[in-house]
Amino acid sequence: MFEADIPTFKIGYLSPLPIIDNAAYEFYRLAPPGLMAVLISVGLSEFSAKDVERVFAPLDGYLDQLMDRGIDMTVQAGTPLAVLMGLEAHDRLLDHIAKRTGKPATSTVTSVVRASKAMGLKKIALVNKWSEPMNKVLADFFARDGIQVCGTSTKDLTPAEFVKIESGNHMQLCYELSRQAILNHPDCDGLYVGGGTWLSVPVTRALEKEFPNHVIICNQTAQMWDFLHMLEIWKPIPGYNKLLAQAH
Amino acid sequence: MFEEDIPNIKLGGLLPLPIIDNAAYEFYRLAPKGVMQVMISVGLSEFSAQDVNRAFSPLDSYLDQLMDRGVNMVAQHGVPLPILIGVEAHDRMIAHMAKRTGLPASSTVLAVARSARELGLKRLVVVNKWTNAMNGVLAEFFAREGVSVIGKTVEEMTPAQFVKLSSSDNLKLAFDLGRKAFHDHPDCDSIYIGGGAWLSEPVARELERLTGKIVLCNQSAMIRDQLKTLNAWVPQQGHSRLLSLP
Repeated sequence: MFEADIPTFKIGYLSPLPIIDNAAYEFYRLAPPGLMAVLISVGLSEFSAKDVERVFAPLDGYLDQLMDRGIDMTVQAGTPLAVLMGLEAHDRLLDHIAKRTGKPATSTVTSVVRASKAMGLKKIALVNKWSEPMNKVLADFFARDGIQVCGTSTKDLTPAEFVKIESGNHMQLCYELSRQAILNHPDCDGLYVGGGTWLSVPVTRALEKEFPNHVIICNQTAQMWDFLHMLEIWKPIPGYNKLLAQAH
Repeated sequence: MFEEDIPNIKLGGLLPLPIIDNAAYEFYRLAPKGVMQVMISVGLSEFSAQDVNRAFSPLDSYLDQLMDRGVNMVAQHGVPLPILIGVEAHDRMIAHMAKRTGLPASSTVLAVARSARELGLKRLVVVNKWTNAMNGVLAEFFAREGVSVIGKTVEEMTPAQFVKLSSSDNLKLAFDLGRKAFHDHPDCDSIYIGGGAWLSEPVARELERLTGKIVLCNQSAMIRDQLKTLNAWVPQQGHSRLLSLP
């Protein structure tokens, strides 16, 4: 009787910050009908390896709660957590999540790198609010898939600072940093606009219109592309950006 | 440049359980475009006044975080929490939330009870998974809005039990209990299906179609009440009557 109302697939999210707003808002603007996000906040409060360790201490408890809700896969959401722990610890974490849940596991940074590779990107510039050491580790994630980071365009802020920026100003900041990245690094063929506290999907759309030779990757579209491929239900989602519009 | 993409209303919500799933799923199926839910989980783990007090001990910090994200109002979600602490403690909490934030404050139980009054309901049956004592307090919330609770149809469960039910089993349970409520209380003019761990809006829509009577549920009541509070309410067709009536 309620077939059309029951979720067909559930994505378990380990969501980084205590507040959940943009992630769900953009997820449900992009998601095909029947795809549900099952969110649990891990409550990161600062960008430090110590805080990442603290928030993942109860990891198995989080995973068990997600499993209770019948998820089909899990995502460790938020690139800063992955880059603060480093490649090896990140890979171990995903292995553990997959083993504990018996379901496929991914992470934002994994989705972003996979999506960049699928779009054939070779040289990208990074746009975000993270520190130089964090961006160096992020470059390592891209490097192991053959993608070179050719520069950054950043405004280094703490979570306590950037969560207070008003939505419109935040999108404007995202747009300006991204534009600057393309102008300052004309040899790049794409950008990765990182961060979940600004609404980045509309910015990617505007930038790809302004710079038609570039591909702009952001968290939400990369994750959606990756989820739908992992669940083997990929269909192009037109109207947003090149990544979501592509046939495969 | 991004005027059409910027949310025009942000609804700050203190959500009851550590997991947020149905709440956001149903909200974004029902809410008008441009309305964003800004959610923070208070992490209730059991139905006890003690656990409610624990979950709300960092209340001011939660409210400050919601304010940082530019919310237009704040709401305490989840009916079990207010009915565990009682009418007076609930009212004090809502008053504190309004004072701390300088914004309108509400709760699920207020939204449901106010909606029932607004729709002219008088004789209501409650359908949920809560205890007798909890349903006794719930009736007080309705009573002060002039709505009598004339019966209940309940399958009592703990959060630890009901979060493990599959979506389809949960929906079926809501539907079966709702249908039984109408069958056992033919003199009621409505039922209220409480609880957020089941997807209740589709059940409300179907039961209204079968019985011709009004079925209240949390999501629809919250969307209606919050948008009315912010003078942004526009009825929308295709859902239950709470959302389609002016």
